Amino acid sequence: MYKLDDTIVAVSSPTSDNHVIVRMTGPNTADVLRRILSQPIQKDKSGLVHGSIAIDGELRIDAKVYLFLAPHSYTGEDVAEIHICTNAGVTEALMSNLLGRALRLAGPGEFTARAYLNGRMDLSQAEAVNEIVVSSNKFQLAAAEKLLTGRLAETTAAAREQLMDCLSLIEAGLDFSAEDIEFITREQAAERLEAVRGRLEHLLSGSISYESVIDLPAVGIAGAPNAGKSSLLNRLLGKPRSIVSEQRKTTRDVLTGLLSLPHCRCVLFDCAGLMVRPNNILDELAQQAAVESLQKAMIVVFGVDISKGDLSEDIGIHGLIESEALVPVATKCDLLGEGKLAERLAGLGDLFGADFLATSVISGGGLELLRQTIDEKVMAATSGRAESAASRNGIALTARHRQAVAEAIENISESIPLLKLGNDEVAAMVLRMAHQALSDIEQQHIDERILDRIFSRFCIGK
Amino acid sequence: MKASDFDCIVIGGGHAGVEAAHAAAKIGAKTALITISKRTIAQMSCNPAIGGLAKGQIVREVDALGGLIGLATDATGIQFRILNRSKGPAVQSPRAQADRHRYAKFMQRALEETNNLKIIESIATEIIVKKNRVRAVTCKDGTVYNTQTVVVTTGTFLGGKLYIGSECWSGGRIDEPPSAELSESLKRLGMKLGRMATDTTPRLDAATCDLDKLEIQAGDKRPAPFSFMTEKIGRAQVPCWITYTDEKIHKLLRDNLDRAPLSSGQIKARDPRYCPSIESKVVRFADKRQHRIFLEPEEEEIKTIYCNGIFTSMPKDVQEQMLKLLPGTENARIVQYAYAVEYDYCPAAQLKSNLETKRVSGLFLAGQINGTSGYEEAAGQGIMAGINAALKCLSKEPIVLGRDRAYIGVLIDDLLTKEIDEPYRMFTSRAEYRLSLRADNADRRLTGLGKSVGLVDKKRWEKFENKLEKIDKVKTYLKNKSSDGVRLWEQLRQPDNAAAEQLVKSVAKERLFGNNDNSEAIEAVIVDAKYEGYLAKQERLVAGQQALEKKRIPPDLDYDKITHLRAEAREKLSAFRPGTVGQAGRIAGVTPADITVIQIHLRKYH
Repeated sequence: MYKLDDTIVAVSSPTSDNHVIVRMTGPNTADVLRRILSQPIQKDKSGLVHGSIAIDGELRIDAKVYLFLAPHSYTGEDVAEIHICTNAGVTEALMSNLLGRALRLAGPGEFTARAYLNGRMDLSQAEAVNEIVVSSNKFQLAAAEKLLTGRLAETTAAAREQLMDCLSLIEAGLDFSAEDIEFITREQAAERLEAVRGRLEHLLSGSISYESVIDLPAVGIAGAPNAGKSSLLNRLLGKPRSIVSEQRKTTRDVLTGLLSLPHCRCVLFDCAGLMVRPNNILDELAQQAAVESLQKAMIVVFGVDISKGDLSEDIGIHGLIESEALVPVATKCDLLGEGKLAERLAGLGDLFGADFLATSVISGGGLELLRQTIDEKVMAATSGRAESAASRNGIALTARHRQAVAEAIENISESIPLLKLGNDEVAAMVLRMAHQALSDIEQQHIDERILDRIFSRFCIGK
Repeated sequence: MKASDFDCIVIGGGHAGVEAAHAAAKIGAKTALITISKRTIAQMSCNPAIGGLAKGQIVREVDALGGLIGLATDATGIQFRILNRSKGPAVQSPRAQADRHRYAKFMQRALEETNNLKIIESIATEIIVKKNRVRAVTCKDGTVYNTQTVVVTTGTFLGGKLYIGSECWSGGRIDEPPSAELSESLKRLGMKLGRMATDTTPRLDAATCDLDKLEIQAGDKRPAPFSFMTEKIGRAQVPCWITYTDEKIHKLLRDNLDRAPLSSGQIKARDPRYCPSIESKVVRFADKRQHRIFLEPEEEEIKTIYCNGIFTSMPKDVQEQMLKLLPGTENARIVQYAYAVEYDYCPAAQLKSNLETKRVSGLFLAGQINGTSGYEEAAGQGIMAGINAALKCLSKEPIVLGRDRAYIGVLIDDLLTKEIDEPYRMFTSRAEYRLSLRADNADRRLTGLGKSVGLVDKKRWEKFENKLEKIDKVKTYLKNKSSDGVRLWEQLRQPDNAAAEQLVKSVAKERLFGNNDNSEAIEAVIVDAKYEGYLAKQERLVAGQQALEKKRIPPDLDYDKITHLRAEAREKLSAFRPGTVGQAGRIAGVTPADITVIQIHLRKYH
């Protein structure tokens, strides 16, 4: 549950950036700003406040500050954005300074929750902000922006209006039957409802699943046991993620990590060693998990230990992988001399019918090229999906929205035969449900659970 | 200190006052009804008809609670019809023309026969309040009656002004004086008053109307009574007649719009949308070439005719010309010209759900004073105000009907949460629980409640229990009996169940009751089956609402302290001061986000 009467603060720029943005909002915003700023708050022509801010007792640092006063701000309360160029240590010191002034660290999505609760945006816009925050590439961003500009709400609002028109005529027929006015015939009503339904069906069929666009693309690393997949994953992610050992078949679970690439982000996962002949039940379970996750993968990196001689197992595993976007990688290349390496690479190429990328987690060789290759392949695959929706002028719908639209369609469909049978009062009730389903998209009726669900997905700082 | 003369004083003997006085007295409060004249108690000052769409449901509800309106209509009705017969049972409503003289007499006698009730012929001029509690009522002659509670049911009498064209004079109804003093008294108590207007139709001498050439609208062959206690309608049934306006009449009205105070702006209150004047209909539906007019007899012997459809504030000469042009009334003698009435009402946001004012303890308001129109709406509020006034005297918890329980509940909740600036009329579409709030099940919804407060007598209760038993019997039978391999109950549940209905009607009657007439129980079960599946759906439609209805808002909540409320919401909530979070959500201008903010606040501080 959200508290609304205190002032919250969060770092709202990516941790890796040197350009740090600290945001705060709430009743004490201006007051706190005044205390840490070297001079009185004075905006220049572009609305910026310049000065240095106190990081702690000794240290001051030049900053640019945007101050938006209530209600003309993102949250509808006073908002300050402090922009500084600095490092993580200084940022941390600034945050503890601010938290020491009775500011509270914002929870996930709390800024946007306040914006919604203060009437600054509707729910579908709030959801869109969320999607922008978590969106992993430019196509997702475009889909999220479509939501934010209210295109979905526009489309459903138009359908909702038509539905309301028709419903009110049916209702009038029930309540004013003593008047000698025929408000709408059952045939006319059915025709109009079919039109609304058609519109919604068009929306649904032209849409793509939001999740398919915004869910991070999955990139799997497959290969024979002990082919060095976990090491590869760790190097790509830049951290020790799984236990790596010399013993074969160390990794039994599917391991995942978030990989940030120049144009996109994706989920990288390392599978349990795929094997041609599982030895025991544990092997079998591991095998099963690996195959399932590989099926979800957009791209599969196929790793072969170039240092070993017997490739029969690798051939078997290659046969298990069905992926259109395969990235063949030779691992442990540091173990071979240059001449031997070239010879072996050519051999692998002949054997598997594809060029292998030479890598080494020890020297780091080939890893940058591998990152680039994954980036390109992911972008090629996602743009295909998003563009096919865009070409149909489609809109990306989240699961909640799809469900709401589908429910409206179902209810409208149910109402038509009811009307034809003369059960107008039941038809009216069912149409009210359709109307409510559409209204929910624009937050007309919202219960707290929906709010919690939406805002808990947010990251801190938004 | 002098002991109270009364526990409850009802001011005004209209359709709200009658039910209020009867209910309060019967529950056990020592009650007085102050009315200008005994002879004008329960006057039908407008249309001599009871019931109609959604209103018929209210009448059945008042009857189930133990009220009088259904009994009076059955005893004096001269034409009964079920409206919306071609539509589903949830939207079918009984309606009846009543003999207006006999109707009033029936009510007068019923009140005279009510124990604990004294009728005082006088004009109440002041409500005396001490420490925010009702103490007494002062009458015009100076008499002061001490009392614990007061129910004000003054209809159109408070600050009443009558209009026929540019003629304007003070009055509560035609030929009756208004009540100016009581308005002032309410204002002194801090009540805010607004102005509303409504209009009536001309009444004609039936003997001078040429009815024979007109289309006849007959009543139902087998008139269905309103009251659960009525076995059969005894009175002779009369028809109504239908005639139509034409372009000539429309032109006449358009040419004289500036002479009609409801159109010209002489009356400040807006033209009532749900009881529109004929001149406003002509303007608003300009493309309609004719409007239907019902000529309705006002008594069994058909002496006067009520021109239902010619509500107007036009001057006398225009009324005369209009009737000369209307087929059937060319030579009619006007017994009473149509008039408009403008009166004070108390915006009901000043009330709690038990119809007691928030400001003065023990002061209840019911009927047109709360901004409603219609005898039925008045009766529904009247009985609830009477019940709650009596319960207050007995130091018992008030009774509030939820929106899911009765149209009366919808009515009162709407009054408390909506901005009403024209007479409020009930419609079935106002009820989100429409499929369960039916005329046919009002007895099952409310008889138990009527019994618990002491309004339902032994005879009614026994008859009711008997009906429940029969319903059970029919249900069990239908759930076990199959035809063509499908249980009858299941067959009835299908949207297209006409054949099954016929089958059940004959089979159940014969097998269960040996051909005795128990059609009422059988029909109730058929309707139950028809809606069973949809009621579950209806539940989903209003899911979550019930929880909000239970979340109370403290009456003294300071909305200005909830800083996150938008200004509009703060203003509306401060004006309405809703009793529950559910009510807050129904106020126009309060968004779901505002409701979340309130809930957060309540959880934190209350």
